[in-house]
Amino acid sequence: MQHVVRNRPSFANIHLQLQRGDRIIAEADAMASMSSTIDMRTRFSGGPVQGLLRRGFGSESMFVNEFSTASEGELVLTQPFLGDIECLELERTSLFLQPGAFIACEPGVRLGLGWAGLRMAIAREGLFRLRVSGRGKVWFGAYGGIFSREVTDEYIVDTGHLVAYEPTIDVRIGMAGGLFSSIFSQEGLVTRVRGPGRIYLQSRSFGGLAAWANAHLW
Amino acid sequence: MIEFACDQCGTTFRVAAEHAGKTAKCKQCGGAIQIPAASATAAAASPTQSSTAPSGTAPPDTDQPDTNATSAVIRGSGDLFSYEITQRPDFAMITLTLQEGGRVFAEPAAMASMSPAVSLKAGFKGGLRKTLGRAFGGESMIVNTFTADRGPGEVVFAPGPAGDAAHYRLDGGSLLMQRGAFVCHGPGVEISGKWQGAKSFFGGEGLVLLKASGQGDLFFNSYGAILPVDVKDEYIVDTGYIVAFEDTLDYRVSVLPGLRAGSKLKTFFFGGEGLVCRFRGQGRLWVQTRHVQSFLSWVHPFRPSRRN
Amino acid sequence: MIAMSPDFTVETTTRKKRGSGGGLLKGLKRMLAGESLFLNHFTATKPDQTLLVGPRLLGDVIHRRLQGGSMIVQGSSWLASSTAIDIDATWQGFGKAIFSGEGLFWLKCSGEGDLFLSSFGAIYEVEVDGDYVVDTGHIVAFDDTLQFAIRKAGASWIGSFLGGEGLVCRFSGKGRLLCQSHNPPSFGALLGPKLKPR
Repeated sequence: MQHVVRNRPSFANIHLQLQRGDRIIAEADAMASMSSTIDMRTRFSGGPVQGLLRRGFGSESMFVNEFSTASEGELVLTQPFLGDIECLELERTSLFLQPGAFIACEPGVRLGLGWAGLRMAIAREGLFRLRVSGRGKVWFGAYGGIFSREVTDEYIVDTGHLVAYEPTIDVRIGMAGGLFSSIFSQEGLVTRVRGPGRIYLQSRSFGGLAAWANAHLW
Repeated sequence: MIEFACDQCGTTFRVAAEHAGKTAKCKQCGGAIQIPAASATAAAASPTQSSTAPSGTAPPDTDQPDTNATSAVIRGSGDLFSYEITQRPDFAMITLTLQEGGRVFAEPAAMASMSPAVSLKAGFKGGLRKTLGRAFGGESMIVNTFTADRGPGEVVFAPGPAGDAAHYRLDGGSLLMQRGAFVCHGPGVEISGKWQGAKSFFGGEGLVLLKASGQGDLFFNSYGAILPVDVKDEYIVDTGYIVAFEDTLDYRVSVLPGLRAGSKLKTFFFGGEGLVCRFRGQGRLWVQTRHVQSFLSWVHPFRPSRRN
Repeated sequence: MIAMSPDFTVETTTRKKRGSGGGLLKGLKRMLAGESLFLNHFTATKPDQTLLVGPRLLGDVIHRRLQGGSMIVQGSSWLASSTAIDIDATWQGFGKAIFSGEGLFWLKCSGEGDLFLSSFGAIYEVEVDGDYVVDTGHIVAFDDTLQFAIRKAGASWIGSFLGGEGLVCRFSGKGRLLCQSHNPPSFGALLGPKLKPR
């Protein structure tokens, strides 16, 4: 299987060349175009409970498509928003992704929907997080550019800008400032991350885009 | 190819070898640059984004991002801080590294991330008249103050829409910005609202501007890419595409010129070409390449309806 | 229009300009949801005039020179063309197969001249020689020498709808197909619920 992420960093999309025997699992809406020799099958990615989860929680339906071919063919995968796509190779490691960030993975990678805990319950975004683990490649994307930080002590992130983080990272919801400032600043609640570990951020957020658009709408 | 950097703003450029020794104008800040003989000077900007190396092996064949000048990192420093504008030109963000005691003032909800050494305070900046002026201009009355009071620290600002960001140093003059373009500023800068006539018939934008004056650093963003234009005599811009302009320019808002009598109304309502701003004089103007109202009319059918 | 030098005349029309030797503008009087089909004619009245145009979505802009053939262009991907190009908005090749609620309409552009197309995301070209499948929201334009059929994506009915892929277009034959990397209705459906109700 050959793969390349094209048009980085703003219109990133994944071009794959599949051979007989290759399999790729991808998020429900990810297929942009493909050769007619590619077969597509729908499957649930998790157990029955996870299968019942609706899209509304953060744009990740738990239905995925599996692509394969009897001969060979091309497949182009994408995400609903513009931005960058990262490809990581998991080697019996895991990563937590914000819902909506997952695009595709190899069959050796397991997908599990995790409850981010009561600590995240009051945030508008990020009630759930997706855990990817196992062996193989995983592609995840962002709205905007992707940048990372190696967190040793503590770092504060606006929740809508957090894309992914290593399992060694501890996440907590907190206030951006004092009580008055947290409300009036419109920064609201933020995610306080504690290391050591790596976090992946995106340079735009859907909440920021919606707030900007709403300011112009009546 | 020769690779070199602008001394003033640090933007890197790459040109064919035949231009060696020539004088050029920096596309970003307008400063004069002498193109060196060979790429002896190392590029000031890092060609790739901040490290995204995975834990594990790096995957083969991933494309590298473009390294042309419009996407170069912009670096500089202000009063008690240094800055970096990265993820250009489509999803630009501003990273400010504050020295202890350094402070910046920002639009609400602009903060993407920050170190715990930085504290956030919401407040109303400026006198009451200025505050009301700003509210009239459509911007929020709230200005958030970020101060590195527990040691040096970093704040990353990200605007709402997709697009670029730029830095401007005010030195006594003023800069006028369209509503939505303001991100943050350093000490010594005052922001006030300004209403310019010729409001559009549909009750939309008209030309609503903010004015930044004083001595200090200002950061603004665009929807789409930013094109700096040095106006010499006259230039016409559709009002929805104006980001900012120096106040040395005269400007007048009107309906699109060159129409035959009788067809004015048709163009105004249906062609999408509505109000334009005619700039005259000498000064710099920043134009954006995408139109906010166009985006809003595109997204309109996807909005939830009140009945649901 | 983003910006321009001062010496242009601008006229908005749905009809062919009399005596201009310009192309045919057919069927533009239909108004579809959110999309006006009135076009602006820019004519320079002095030499060396600059006109800056841009599309409404974020993405690529490309230039194609038509040499007598025709291209079917997705309505919101058409940005500009020289006046000699015929634009026909009555083309109904896809019929009712594509859900018109997505605001998709198609223009048949023919003749000899310059065509400027835009996209949501990046444009990639596929030289179709056989069969190729595209999610309908990803089609920018294609040579009208291609045959096409709309069909469900998955092998089963359940697969098509629950799997997320709606309708796809299967192209066959020989010709160029221009695709876009991102799908405007997918993005709109994600952002829409977060906006103020209308």
